[in-house]
Amino acid sequence: MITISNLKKVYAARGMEVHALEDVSLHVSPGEIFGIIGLSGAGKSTLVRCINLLEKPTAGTVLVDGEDLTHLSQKELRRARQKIGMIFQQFNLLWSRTVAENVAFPLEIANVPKDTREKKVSELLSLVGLEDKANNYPGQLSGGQKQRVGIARALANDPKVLLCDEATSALDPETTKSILTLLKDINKKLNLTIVLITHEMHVIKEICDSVGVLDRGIIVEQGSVLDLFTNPKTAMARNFINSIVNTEIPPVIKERQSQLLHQGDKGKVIRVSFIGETAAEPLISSLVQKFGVQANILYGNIDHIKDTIFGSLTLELLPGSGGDVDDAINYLKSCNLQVEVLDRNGNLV
Amino acid sequence: METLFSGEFLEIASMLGEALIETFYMVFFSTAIAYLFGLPLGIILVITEKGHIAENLPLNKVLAVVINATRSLPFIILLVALIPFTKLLVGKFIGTTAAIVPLTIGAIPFVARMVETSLKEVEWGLIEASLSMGASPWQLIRKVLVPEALSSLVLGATITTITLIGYSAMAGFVGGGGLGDLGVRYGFYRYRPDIMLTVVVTLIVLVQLLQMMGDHIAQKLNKKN
Ligand SMILES: Nc1ncnc2c1ncn2[C@@H]1O[C@H](COP(=O)(O)OP(=O)(O)OP(=O)(O)O)[C@@H](O)[C@H]1O
Ligand SMILES: [Mg+2]
Repeated sequence: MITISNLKKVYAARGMEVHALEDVSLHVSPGEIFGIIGLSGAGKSTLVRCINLLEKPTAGTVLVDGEDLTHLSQKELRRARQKIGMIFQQFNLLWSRTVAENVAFPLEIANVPKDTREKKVSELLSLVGLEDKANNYPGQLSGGQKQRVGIARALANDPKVLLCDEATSALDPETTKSILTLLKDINKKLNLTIVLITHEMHVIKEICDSVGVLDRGIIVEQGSVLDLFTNPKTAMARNFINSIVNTEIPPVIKERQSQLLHQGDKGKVIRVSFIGETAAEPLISSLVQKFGVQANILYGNIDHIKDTIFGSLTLELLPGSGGDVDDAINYLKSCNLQVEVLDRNGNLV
Repeated sequence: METLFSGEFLEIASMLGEALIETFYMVFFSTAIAYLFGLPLGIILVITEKGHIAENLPLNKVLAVVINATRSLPFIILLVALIPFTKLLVGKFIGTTAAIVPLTIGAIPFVARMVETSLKEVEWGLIEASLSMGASPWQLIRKVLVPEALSSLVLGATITTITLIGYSAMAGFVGGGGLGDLGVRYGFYRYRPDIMLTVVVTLIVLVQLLQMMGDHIAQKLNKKN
Protein backbone atom coordinates (compact mmCIF):
# COMPACT_ATOMS: atom_id res chain seq x y z
CA MET A 1 0.00 0.00 0.00
CA ILE A 2 2.85 2.36 0.84
CA THR A 3 6.35 1.99 -0.49
CA ILE A 4 8.99 4.47 0.54
CA SER A 5 12.29 4.27 -1.30
CA ASN A 6 15.51 6.03 -0.37
CA LEU A 7 13.68 8.88 1.22
CA LYS A 8 15.86 11.76 2.29
CA LYS A 9 14.87 14.99 3.95
CA VAL A 10 17.26 17.81 4.68
CA TYR A 11 15.99 20.95 6.38
CA ALA A 12 17.89 24.14 5.78
CA ALA A 13 17.46 26.24 8.88
CA ARG A 14 19.45 29.49 9.03
CA GLY A 15 22.33 28.20 6.95
CA MET A 16 22.48 25.03 9.03
CA GLU A 17 21.54 21.72 7.44
CA VAL A 18 19.48 19.28 9.48
CA HIS A 19 19.43 15.77 8.07
CA ALA A 20 16.06 14.68 9.42
CA LEU A 21 15.86 11.54 7.25
CA GLU A 22 19.00 9.94 5.89
CA ASP A 23 17.93 7.13 3.61
CA VAL A 24 14.63 5.60 4.58
CA SER A 25 13.07 2.70 2.71
CA LEU A 26 10.09 0.81 3.98
CA HIS A 27 7.04 -1.06 2.84
CA VAL A 28 3.59 -1.07 4.39
CA SER A 29 1.27 -3.87 3.29
CA PRO A 30 -2.43 -3.27 2.65
CA GLY A 31 -4.60 -3.61 5.74
CA GLU A 32 -1.81 -3.64 8.28
CA ILE A 33 -1.05 -1.31 11.15
CA PHE A 34 2.51 -0.18 10.73
CA GLY A 35 4.20 1.50 13.68
CA ILE A 36 7.19 3.76 13.53
CA ILE A 37 8.93 4.26 16.83
CA GLY A 38 11.82 6.53 17.67
CA LEU A 39 13.09 8.99 20.21
CA SER A 40 12.27 12.66 20.09
CA GLY A 41 13.94 14.23 17.07
CA ALA A 42 14.47 10.89 15.33
CA GLY A 43 12.50 12.14 12.35
CA LYS A 44 9.18 10.39 12.90
CA SER A 45 6.97 13.37 12.16
CA THR A 46 9.10 14.24 9.16
CA LEU A 47 8.66 10.71 7.87
CA VAL A 48 4.84 10.60 8.11
CA ARG A 49 4.60 14.11 6.77
CA CYS A 50 6.61 12.99 3.76
CA ILE A 51 4.01 10.30 3.08
CA ASN A 52 1.32 12.86 2.21
CA LEU A 53 3.90 15.38 1.09
CA LEU A 54 3.11 17.93 3.77
CA GLU A 55 6.88 17.89 3.76
CA LYS A 56 8.57 17.74 0.40
CA PRO A 57 11.24 15.02 0.33
CA THR A 58 14.73 16.14 -0.62
CA ALA A 59 15.20 12.86 -2.50
CA GLY A 60 13.49 9.51 -2.87
CA THR A 61 10.02 8.38 -3.81
CA VAL A 62 6.77 7.77 -1.97
CA LEU A 63 4.29 5.38 -3.56
CA VAL A 64 0.81 5.28 -2.06
CA ASP A 65 -1.45 2.68 -3.65
CA GLY A 66 0.87 2.54 -6.62
CA GLU A 67 0.86 6.29 -7.24
CA ASP A 68 4.10 8.23 -6.98
CA LEU A 69 3.13 11.30 -5.00
CA THR A 70 6.44 13.08 -5.54
CA HIS A 71 5.64 13.56 -9.23
CA LEU A 72 2.09 14.91 -9.03
CA SER A 73 0.92 18.40 -9.91
CA GLN A 74 -0.53 20.52 -7.09
CA LYS A 75 -4.04 19.68 -8.19
CA GLU A 76 -3.40 15.96 -8.49
CA LEU A 77 -1.69 15.98 -5.12
CA ARG A 78 -4.74 17.60 -3.50
CA ARG A 79 -6.95 14.90 -4.95
CA ALA A 80 -4.54 12.17 -3.78
CA ARG A 81 -4.49 13.68 -0.28
CA GLN A 82 -8.25 13.27 -0.02
CA LYS A 83 -7.57 9.55 0.05
CA ILE A 84 -4.94 9.77 2.78
CA GLY A 85 -6.45 10.57 6.17
CA MET A 86 -4.34 12.05 8.93
CA ILE A 87 -4.78 12.56 12.66
CA PHE A 88 -2.62 14.66 14.93
CA GLN A 89 -1.33 14.85 18.47
CA GLN A 90 -3.02 18.22 18.97
CA PHE A 91 -6.18 17.06 17.13
CA ASN A 92 -6.23 20.23 14.99
CA LEU A 93 -10.00 20.58 14.87
CA LEU A 94 -11.53 23.79 13.58
CA TRP A 95 -12.70 25.71 16.63
CA SER A 96 -15.37 27.63 14.77
CA ARG A 97 -17.14 24.52 13.53
CA THR A 98 -19.29 22.06 15.43
CA VAL A 99 -18.33 18.42 15.63
CA ALA A 100 -20.60 17.57 12.69
CA GLU A 101 -19.27 20.50 10.67
CA ASN A 102 -15.70 19.44 11.39
CA VAL A 103 -16.41 15.97 10.06
CA ALA A 104 -18.16 17.49 7.04
CA PHE A 105 -15.14 19.69 6.29
CA PRO A 106 -13.13 17.22 4.19
CA LEU A 107 -16.34 16.37 2.32
CA GLU A 108 -16.87 20.04 1.51
CA ILE A 109 -13.32 20.17 0.25
CA ALA A 110 -14.03 17.22 -2.01
CA ASN A 111 -17.21 18.95 -3.24
CA VAL A 112 -19.53 16.24 -1.96
CA PRO A 113 -23.17 17.36 -2.22
CA LYS A 114 -24.90 18.43 0.97
CA ASP A 115 -27.34 15.55 1.47
CA THR A 116 -24.62 12.92 0.90
CA ARG A 117 -22.46 14.88 3.32
CA GLU A 118 -25.02 14.80 6.09
CA LYS A 119 -25.59 11.10 5.73
CA LYS A 120 -21.88 10.37 5.77
CA VAL A 121 -21.31 12.59 8.82
CA SER A 122 -23.90 10.80 10.90
CA GLU A 123 -22.48 7.43 9.89
CA LEU A 124 -19.01 8.51 10.91
CA LEU A 125 -20.15 10.00 14.20
CA SER A 126 -21.81 6.76 15.16
CA LEU A 127 -18.69 4.86 14.10
CA VAL A 128 -16.63 6.83 16.63
CA GLY A 129 -19.42 6.93 19.21
CA LEU A 130 -20.12 10.67 19.21
CA GLU A 131 -23.66 10.93 17.84
CA ASP A 132 -24.74 12.94 20.86
CA LYS A 133 -21.98 15.52 20.42
CA ALA A 134 -22.77 16.43 16.80
CA ASN A 135 -23.70 20.01 17.65
CA ASN A 136 -21.04 20.67 20.26
CA TYR A 137 -17.96 22.75 19.54
CA PRO A 138 -14.48 21.21 19.96
CA GLY A 139 -13.87 23.60 22.86
CA GLN A 140 -16.52 21.68 24.80
CA LEU A 141 -14.94 18.24 24.31
CA SER A 142 -12.37 16.20 26.22
CA GLY A 143 -9.10 15.20 24.58
CA GLY A 144 -10.33 11.70 23.83
CA GLN A 145 -13.52 13.02 22.27
CA LYS A 146 -11.54 15.50 20.19
CA GLN A 147 -9.39 12.71 18.83
CA ARG A 148 -12.52 10.73 17.97
CA VAL A 149 -13.72 13.69 15.94
CA GLY A 150 -10.25 13.80 14.35
CA ILE A 151 -10.59 10.15 13.40
CA ALA A 152 -14.12 10.59 12.01
CA ARG A 153 -12.90 13.59 10.00
CA ALA A 154 -9.90 11.65 8.66
CA LEU A 155 -12.17 8.84 7.49
CA ALA A 156 -14.71 11.07 5.76
CA ASN A 157 -13.47 10.61 2.21
CA ASP A 158 -13.00 6.84 2.61
CA PRO A 159 -9.21 6.98 2.59
CA LYS A 160 -7.04 4.03 1.77
CA VAL A 161 -4.48 5.03 4.35
CA LEU A 162 -4.66 6.67 7.77
CA LEU A 163 -1.57 8.47 9.08
CA CYS A 164 -1.34 9.04 12.82
CA ASP A 165 1.24 11.47 14.17
CA GLU A 166 1.49 10.75 17.92
CA ALA A 167 -2.29 10.46 17.99
CA THR A 168 -2.44 9.40 21.63
CA SER A 169 0.50 11.28 23.12
CA ALA A 170 -1.68 14.04 24.54
CA LEU A 171 -4.09 11.61 26.19
CA ASP A 172 -4.18 9.83 29.54
CA PRO A 173 -3.56 6.05 29.62
CA GLU A 174 -7.23 5.13 29.85
CA THR A 175 -8.22 7.35 26.92
CA THR A 176 -5.17 6.22 24.96
CA LYS A 177 -6.40 2.67 25.30
CA SER A 178 -9.88 3.51 24.03
CA ILE A 179 -8.49 5.42 21.04
CA LEU A 180 -6.13 2.56 20.19
CA THR A 181 -9.04 0.14 20.41
CA LEU A 182 -11.02 2.35 18.07
CA LEU A 183 -8.13 2.46 15.58
CA LYS A 184 -7.86 -1.32 15.74
CA ASP A 185 -11.62 -1.68 15.13
CA ILE A 186 -11.51 0.65 12.16
CA ASN A 187 -8.50 -1.18 10.77
CA LYS A 188 -10.47 -4.44 10.91
CA LYS A 189 -13.85 -3.10 9.85
CA LEU A 190 -12.68 -1.00 6.92
CA ASN A 191 -9.54 -2.95 6.11
CA LEU A 192 -7.77 0.38 6.42
CA THR A 193 -3.99 0.61 6.29
CA ILE A 194 -2.70 2.61 9.25
CA VAL A 195 0.71 4.18 9.71
CA LEU A 196 1.21 5.25 13.26
CA ILE A 197 4.16 7.01 14.80
CA THR A 198 4.88 7.05 18.47
CA HIS A 199 7.63 7.20 21.04
CA GLU A 200 5.76 4.77 23.28
CA MET A 201 6.47 1.07 22.89
CA HIS A 202 3.19 0.02 24.48
CA VAL A 203 1.32 1.65 21.59
CA ILE A 204 3.31 -0.50 19.17
CA LYS A 205 2.71 -3.59 21.26
CA GLU A 206 -0.99 -2.88 21.65
CA ILE A 207 -2.08 -2.54 18.03
CA CYS A 208 0.71 -2.72 15.46
CA ASP A 209 1.40 -5.62 13.13
CA SER A 210 4.72 -4.36 11.83
CA VAL A 211 7.17 -1.85 13.14
CA GLY A 212 10.11 0.23 12.02
CA VAL A 213 12.59 1.60 14.50
CA LEU A 214 13.81 5.03 13.52
CA ASP A 215 17.07 6.27 14.94
CA ARG A 216 18.45 9.66 13.90
CA GLY A 217 16.90 9.52 10.46
CA ILE A 218 17.66 5.89 9.74
CA ILE A 219 15.38 2.85 9.99
CA VAL A 220 17.64 0.60 12.03
CA GLU A 221 15.25 -2.29 12.33
CA GLN A 222 12.01 -3.30 10.68
CA GLY A 223 9.78 -6.34 10.77
CA SER A 224 6.86 -7.88 12.58
CA VAL A 225 6.17 -6.64 16.09
CA LEU A 226 6.53 -10.15 17.47
CA ASP A 227 9.97 -10.49 15.87
CA LEU A 228 11.03 -7.20 17.34
CA PHE A 229 9.94 -8.16 20.83
CA THR A 230 11.36 -11.65 20.79
CA ASN A 231 14.50 -11.00 18.83
CA PRO A 232 15.54 -7.35 18.84
CA LYS A 233 18.75 -6.76 16.93
CA THR A 234 19.67 -3.23 17.91
CA ALA A 235 20.30 -1.57 21.23
CA MET A 236 17.69 1.03 20.29
CA ALA A 237 15.03 -1.67 19.90
CA ARG A 238 16.08 -3.37 23.14
CA ASN A 239 15.80 -0.11 25.03
CA PHE A 240 12.28 0.44 23.76
CA ILE A 241 11.30 -3.10 24.70
CA ASN A 242 12.79 -2.71 28.14
CA SER A 243 10.66 0.34 28.64
CA ILE A 244 7.62 -1.92 28.88
CA VAL A 245 8.80 -5.45 29.54
CA ASN A 246 11.78 -5.84 31.78
CA THR A 247 13.99 -8.32 29.97
CA GLU A 248 17.07 -7.32 31.91
CA ILE A 249 17.94 -9.72 34.70
CA PRO A 250 18.11 -7.77 37.96
CA PRO A 251 21.59 -7.54 39.60
CA VAL A 252 20.56 -9.47 42.68
CA ILE A 253 19.87 -12.49 40.49
CA LYS A 254 23.02 -12.07 38.44
CA GLU A 255 25.00 -12.39 41.67
CA ARG A 256 23.40 -15.73 42.23
CA GLN A 257 25.69 -17.47 39.74
CA SER A 258 28.91 -16.41 41.46
CA GLN A 259 27.39 -17.42 44.77
CA LEU A 260 26.72 -20.90 43.41
CA LEU A 261 30.28 -21.21 42.11
CA HIS A 262 31.58 -19.88 45.36
CA GLN A 263 29.76 -22.60 47.20
CA GLY A 264 31.37 -25.19 44.92
CA ASP A 265 27.95 -26.09 43.66
CA LYS A 266 27.56 -27.51 40.18
CA GLY A 267 24.37 -25.60 39.70
CA LYS A 268 23.83 -23.10 36.91
CA VAL A 269 21.67 -20.08 36.39
CA ILE A 270 20.07 -20.06 32.95
CA ARG A 271 17.58 -18.00 31.07
CA VAL A 272 15.06 -19.76 28.91
CA SER A 273 13.23 -17.67 26.32
CA PHE A 274 10.19 -18.92 24.53
CA ILE A 275 7.64 -17.84 21.98
CA GLY A 276 4.25 -19.26 21.32
CA GLU A 277 3.05 -22.75 22.16
CA THR A 278 5.77 -23.90 24.55
CA ALA A 279 4.31 -23.89 28.00
CA ALA A 280 6.84 -23.44 30.76
CA GLU A 281 5.38 -25.59 33.44
CA PRO A 282 5.56 -29.13 31.98
CA LEU A 283 9.15 -28.35 31.06
CA ILE A 284 10.14 -27.67 34.59
CA SER A 285 8.47 -30.77 35.88
CA SER A 286 10.14 -32.89 33.19
CA LEU A 287 13.51 -31.43 34.19
CA VAL A 288 12.89 -32.77 37.62
CA GLN A 289 11.49 -36.09 36.51
CA LYS A 290 13.81 -36.91 33.59
CA PHE A 291 17.06 -35.43 34.75
CA GLY A 292 16.71 -35.37 38.46
CA VAL A 293 17.71 -31.73 38.62
CA GLN A 294 16.11 -29.23 40.87
CA ALA A 295 14.79 -26.11 39.14
CA ASN A 296 14.06 -22.93 41.00
CA ILE A 297 12.42 -20.03 39.25
CA LEU A 298 14.37 -16.91 40.13
CA TYR A 299 12.86 -14.39 37.82
CA GLY A 300 10.68 -14.17 34.78
CA ASN A 301 8.32 -12.27 32.59
CA ILE A 302 5.71 -13.50 30.26
CA ASP A 303 3.76 -11.32 27.91
CA HIS A 304 1.71 -11.60 24.82
CA ILE A 305 1.41 -9.86 21.49
CA LYS A 306 -2.04 -10.49 20.13
CA ASP A 307 -2.43 -14.24 20.64
CA THR A 308 1.20 -15.16 20.90
CA ILE A 309 2.66 -15.72 24.35
CA PHE A 310 6.32 -14.94 24.73
CA GLY A 311 8.71 -14.38 27.57
CA SER A 312 11.66 -15.62 29.49
CA LEU A 313 12.28 -17.42 32.76
CA THR A 314 15.48 -17.24 34.71
CA LEU A 315 16.02 -20.58 36.43
CA GLU A 316 18.51 -21.94 38.87
CA LEU A 317 19.28 -25.56 38.05
CA LEU A 318 20.82 -27.61 40.86
CA PRO A 319 22.10 -31.19 40.43
CA GLY A 320 20.00 -32.34 43.36
CA SER A 321 20.27 -36.07 43.82
CA GLY A 322 22.77 -36.98 41.10
CA GLY A 323 21.14 -35.20 38.20
CA ASP A 324 23.20 -33.65 35.41
CA VAL A 325 22.56 -29.98 34.83
CA ASP A 326 24.18 -29.98 31.36
CA ASP A 327 21.95 -32.81 30.16
CA ALA A 328 18.98 -30.81 31.29
CA ILE A 329 20.20 -27.74 29.40
CA ASN A 330 20.70 -29.75 26.23
CA TYR A 331 17.23 -31.12 26.60
CA LEU A 332 15.80 -27.62 26.81
CA LYS A 333 17.72 -26.60 23.70
CA SER A 334 16.35 -29.64 21.88
CA CYS A 335 12.87 -28.36 22.68
CA ASN A 336 13.58 -25.34 20.46
CA LEU A 337 13.96 -22.98 23.35
CA GLN A 338 16.55 -20.29 23.44
CA VAL A 339 18.76 -21.05 26.41
CA GLU A 340 21.39 -18.73 27.78
CA VAL A 341 23.71 -19.55 30.65
CA LEU A 342 24.93 -16.97 33.10
CA ASP A 343 28.70 -16.92 33.51
CA ARG A 344 30.45 -16.07 36.73
CA ASN A 345 30.24 -12.37 36.06
CA GLY A 346 26.52 -12.56 35.53
CA ASN A 347 26.74 -12.21 31.74
CA LEU A 348 24.58 -14.30 29.47
CA VAL A 349 26.41 -16.62 27.10
CA MET B 1 -36.53 73.32 33.20
CA GLU B 2 -37.03 76.25 30.98
CA THR B 3 -33.60 75.88 29.35
CA LEU B 4 -34.45 72.38 28.26
CA PHE B 5 -36.81 73.71 25.67
CA SER B 6 -34.95 76.89 24.94
CA GLY B 7 -33.80 77.69 21.44
CA GLU B 8 -30.26 77.13 22.55
CA PHE B 9 -30.91 73.51 23.39
CA LEU B 10 -32.67 72.87 20.11
CA GLU B 11 -29.83 74.53 18.28
CA ILE B 12 -27.25 72.30 19.93
CA ALA B 13 -29.40 69.21 19.43
CA SER B 14 -29.83 69.84 15.73
CA MET B 15 -26.14 70.62 15.23
CA LEU B 16 -25.22 67.51 17.14
CA GLY B 17 -27.64 65.41 15.14
CA GLU B 18 -26.24 66.66 11.88
CA ALA B 19 -22.64 66.13 13.02
CA LEU B 20 -23.45 62.62 14.20
CA ILE B 21 -24.91 61.73 10.83
CA GLU B 22 -21.85 63.13 9.07
CA THR B 23 -19.53 61.18 11.35
CA PHE B 24 -21.48 57.98 10.85
CA TYR B 25 -21.49 58.53 7.13
CA MET B 26 -17.74 59.13 6.89
CA VAL B 27 -16.76 56.37 9.31
CA PHE B 28 -19.12 53.78 7.93
CA PHE B 29 -18.07 54.18 4.32
CA SER B 30 -14.37 54.58 4.98
CA THR B 31 -14.35 51.49 7.23
CA ALA B 32 -16.33 49.45 4.72
CA ILE B 33 -14.18 50.45 1.73
CA ALA B 34 -10.99 50.10 3.76
CA TYR B 35 -11.97 46.49 4.54
CA LEU B 36 -12.83 45.87 0.92
CA PHE B 37 -9.16 46.48 0.12
CA GLY B 38 -7.52 45.84 3.47
CA LEU B 39 -8.93 42.36 4.04
CA PRO B 40 -7.52 40.87 0.83
CA LEU B 41 -4.27 42.75 1.42
CA GLY B 42 -4.00 41.32 4.92
CA ILE B 43 -4.68 37.84 3.60
CA ILE B 44 -2.04 38.25 0.90
CA LEU B 45 0.43 39.50 3.51
CA VAL B 46 -0.08 36.31 5.49
CA ILE B 47 -0.16 33.69 2.75
CA THR B 48 2.83 35.04 0.85
CA GLU B 49 5.03 34.71 3.91
CA LYS B 50 7.84 32.20 4.02
CA GLY B 51 6.55 28.66 4.30
CA HIS B 52 2.91 29.66 3.90
CA ILE B 53 0.46 28.38 1.30
CA ALA B 54 1.36 30.89 -1.42
CA GLU B 55 4.89 31.86 -0.46
CA ASN B 56 6.04 34.85 -2.49
CA LEU B 57 8.71 36.78 -0.69
CA PRO B 58 9.22 39.60 -3.24
CA LEU B 59 5.49 40.41 -3.25
CA ASN B 60 5.39 40.17 0.52
CA LYS B 61 8.32 42.60 0.87
CA VAL B 62 6.88 45.12 -1.58
CA LEU B 63 3.52 45.11 0.17
CA ALA B 64 5.13 45.50 3.56
CA VAL B 65 7.15 48.50 2.38
CA VAL B 66 4.15 50.23 0.80
CA ILE B 67 2.01 49.60 3.87
CA ASN B 68 4.66 50.84 6.26
CA ALA B 69 5.26 53.92 4.15
CA THR B 70 1.57 54.84 4.15
CA ARG B 71 1.26 54.17 7.85
CA SER B 72 4.22 56.34 8.70
CA LEU B 73 2.53 59.47 7.26
CA PRO B 74 0.60 61.54 9.80
CA PHE B 75 -3.06 61.54 8.77
CA ILE B 76 -3.23 65.30 8.49
CA ILE B 77 -0.46 65.22 5.86
CA LEU B 78 -2.15 62.39 3.98
CA LEU B 79 -5.31 64.48 3.98
CA VAL B 80 -3.60 67.33 2.19
CA ALA B 81 -1.36 65.20 0.00
CA LEU B 82 -4.35 63.30 -1.35
CA ILE B 83 -6.29 66.38 -2.44
CA PRO B 84 -5.50 65.94 -6.17
CA PHE B 85 -6.37 62.26 -6.00
CA THR B 86 -9.64 62.97 -4.19
CA LYS B 87 -10.53 65.57 -6.77
CA LEU B 88 -9.92 63.06 -9.51
CA LEU B 89 -12.01 60.45 -7.79
CA VAL B 90 -15.08 62.36 -6.56
CA GLY B 91 -14.79 65.57 -8.54
CA LYS B 92 -14.16 67.77 -5.50
CA PHE B 93 -11.93 67.78 -2.48
CA ILE B 94 -14.21 69.57 -0.02
CA GLY B 95 -17.12 68.02 1.82
CA THR B 96 -18.14 64.93 3.71
CA THR B 97 -18.00 62.57 0.74
CA ALA B 98 -14.60 63.90 -0.29
CA ALA B 99 -13.32 63.28 3.24
CA ILE B 100 -14.05 59.58 2.86
CA VAL B 101 -11.23 59.26 0.32
CA PRO B 102 -8.27 60.16 2.57
CA LEU B 103 -9.90 58.39 5.51
CA THR B 104 -10.15 55.20 3.48
CA ILE B 105 -6.65 55.45 2.04
CA GLY B 106 -5.28 56.06 5.52
CA ALA B 107 -7.21 53.12 6.93
CA ILE B 108 -6.35 50.49 4.29
CA PRO B 109 -2.81 49.76 5.51
CA PHE B 110 -4.03 49.87 9.10
CA VAL B 111 -6.74 47.33 8.29
CA ALA B 112 -4.27 45.16 6.38
CA ARG B 113 -2.05 44.97 9.44
CA MET B 114 -4.99 44.28 11.75
CA VAL B 115 -6.19 41.49 9.48
CA GLU B 116 -2.66 40.09 9.23
CA THR B 117 -2.36 39.96 13.03
CA SER B 118 -5.73 38.23 13.38
CA LEU B 119 -5.02 35.62 10.72
CA LYS B 120 -1.66 34.83 12.26
CA GLU B 121 -3.42 33.80 15.46
CA VAL B 122 -4.85 30.79 13.62
CA GLU B 123 -2.78 27.80 14.70
CA TRP B 124 -0.54 26.40 11.99
CA GLY B 125 -1.79 22.92 12.87
CA LEU B 126 -5.23 23.81 11.54
CA ILE B 127 -3.77 24.94 8.23
CA GLU B 128 -1.67 21.83 8.01
CA ALA B 129 -4.63 19.58 8.83
CA SER B 130 -6.64 21.26 6.07
CA LEU B 131 -3.80 20.85 3.58
CA SER B 132 -3.56 17.18 4.54
CA MET B 133 -7.21 16.83 3.51
CA GLY B 134 -6.45 18.31 0.12
CA ALA B 135 -7.78 21.84 0.62
CA SER B 136 -6.93 24.32 -2.13
CA PRO B 137 -5.49 27.72 -1.16
CA TRP B 138 -8.85 29.35 -1.82
CA GLN B 139 -10.75 26.79 0.27
CA LEU B 140 -8.20 27.27 2.99
CA ILE B 141 -8.72 31.02 3.08
CA ARG B 142 -12.49 30.86 2.90
CA LYS B 143 -13.14 27.86 5.13
CA VAL B 144 -10.27 27.98 7.59
CA LEU B 145 -8.27 31.20 7.87
CA VAL B 146 -11.13 33.71 7.88
CA PRO B 147 -13.75 31.72 9.86
CA GLU B 148 -11.19 30.70 12.47
CA ALA B 149 -9.99 34.29 12.84
CA LEU B 150 -13.47 35.81 12.72
CA SER B 151 -13.75 36.70 16.39
CA SER B 152 -10.36 38.42 16.29
CA LEU B 153 -11.24 40.10 12.98
CA VAL B 154 -14.32 41.62 14.60
CA LEU B 155 -12.23 43.02 17.43
CA GLY B 156 -9.88 44.46 14.82
CA ALA B 157 -12.79 46.04 12.96
CA THR B 158 -13.96 47.60 16.21
CA ILE B 159 -10.55 49.15 16.78
CA THR B 160 -10.44 50.33 13.16
CA THR B 161 -13.87 51.97 13.46
CA ILE B 162 -12.95 53.74 16.67
CA THR B 163 -9.66 54.90 15.19
CA LEU B 164 -11.50 56.24 12.16
CA ILE B 165 -13.87 58.21 14.41
CA GLY B 166 -10.75 59.88 15.75
CA TYR B 167 -9.32 60.53 12.28
CA SER B 168 -12.65 61.82 11.04
CA ALA B 169 -12.33 64.72 13.51
CA MET B 170 -9.59 66.05 11.27
CA ALA B 171 -11.87 65.92 8.27
CA GLY B 172 -13.02 69.41 9.29
CA PHE B 173 -9.95 70.62 7.42
CA VAL B 174 -11.51 69.60 4.15
CA GLY B 175 -15.02 70.61 5.18
CA GLY B 176 -16.01 67.09 6.07
CA GLY B 177 -18.02 68.14 9.09
CA GLY B 178 -18.79 65.60 11.78
CA LEU B 179 -18.49 65.61 15.55
CA GLY B 180 -14.83 66.54 15.73
CA ASP B 181 -15.32 69.45 13.41
CA LEU B 182 -18.28 70.68 15.46
CA GLY B 183 -16.22 70.54 18.62
CA VAL B 184 -13.31 72.46 17.13
CA ARG B 185 -15.41 75.11 15.40
CA TYR B 186 -17.84 75.92 18.18
CA GLY B 187 -16.08 74.68 21.26
CA PHE B 188 -12.70 76.16 20.41
CA TYR B 189 -13.00 79.02 17.93
CA ARG B 190 -16.34 80.36 19.16
CA TYR B 191 -15.73 79.48 22.75
CA ARG B 192 -18.87 77.51 23.44
CA PRO B 193 -17.89 75.16 26.27
CA ASP B 194 -21.42 73.72 26.33
CA ILE B 195 -21.09 72.51 22.75
CA MET B 196 -17.57 71.24 23.37
CA LEU B 197 -18.82 69.31 26.38
CA THR B 198 -21.74 67.84 24.45
CA VAL B 199 -19.41 66.73 21.67
CA VAL B 200 -16.94 65.19 24.11
CA VAL B 201 -19.65 63.30 25.97
CA THR B 202 -21.21 62.10 22.70
CA LEU B 203 -17.84 60.84 21.46
CA ILE B 204 -17.13 59.03 24.71
CA VAL B 205 -20.54 57.36 24.72
CA LEU B 206 -20.22 56.47 21.03
CA VAL B 207 -16.83 54.85 21.45
CA GLN B 208 -17.92 52.99 24.57
CA LEU B 209 -20.99 51.63 22.81
CA LEU B 210 -18.99 50.54 19.79
CA GLN B 211 -16.40 48.79 21.91
CA MET B 212 -19.08 47.02 23.94
CA MET B 213 -20.84 45.91 20.81
CA GLY B 214 -17.60 44.69 19.23
CA ASP B 215 -16.59 42.80 22.37
CA HIS B 216 -20.01 41.21 22.58
CA ILE B 217 -20.03 40.00 18.97
CA ALA B 218 -16.44 38.77 19.21
CA GLN B 219 -17.31 36.88 22.37
CA LYS B 220 -20.26 35.24 20.64
CA LEU B 221 -18.11 34.22 17.70
CA ASN B 222 -15.33 32.81 19.82
CA LYS B 223 -16.05 29.10 20.23
CA LYS B 224 -12.57 28.24 21.36
CA ASN B 225 -13.08 28.68 25.09
N1 LIG C 1 10.66 22.70 9.69
C1 LIG C 1 11.86 22.31 10.16
N2 LIG C 1 12.95 23.07 9.96
C2 LIG C 1 14.16 22.68 10.42
N3 LIG C 1 14.38 21.56 11.10
C3 LIG C 1 13.34 20.75 11.35
C4 LIG C 1 12.02 21.09 10.90
N4 LIG C 1 11.18 20.10 11.28
C5 LIG C 1 11.93 19.20 11.95
N5 LIG C 1 13.24 19.58 11.99
C6 LIG C 1 14.34 18.82 12.58
O1 LIG C 1 14.34 17.53 12.03
C7 LIG C 1 14.60 16.55 13.03
C8 LIG C 1 13.49 15.55 13.08
O2 LIG C 1 12.29 16.19 13.54
P1 LIG C 1 10.92 15.44 13.69
O3 LIG C 1 9.92 16.45 14.10
O4 LIG C 1 10.64 14.64 12.48
O5 LIG C 1 11.22 14.47 14.91
P2 LIG C 1 10.22 13.54 15.71
O6 LIG C 1 10.82 12.18 15.68
O7 LIG C 1 8.85 13.69 15.22
O8 LIG C 1 10.35 14.12 17.19
P3 LIG C 1 9.22 14.30 18.31
O9 LIG C 1 9.05 12.97 18.95
O10 LIG C 1 9.86 15.28 19.23
O11 LIG C 1 7.99 14.82 17.66
C9 LIG C 1 14.81 17.32 14.32
O12 LIG C 1 16.19 17.48 14.52
C10 LIG C 1 14.15 18.64 14.06
O13 LIG C 1 14.79 19.65 14.79
MG1 LIG D 1 6.97 14.47 16.06
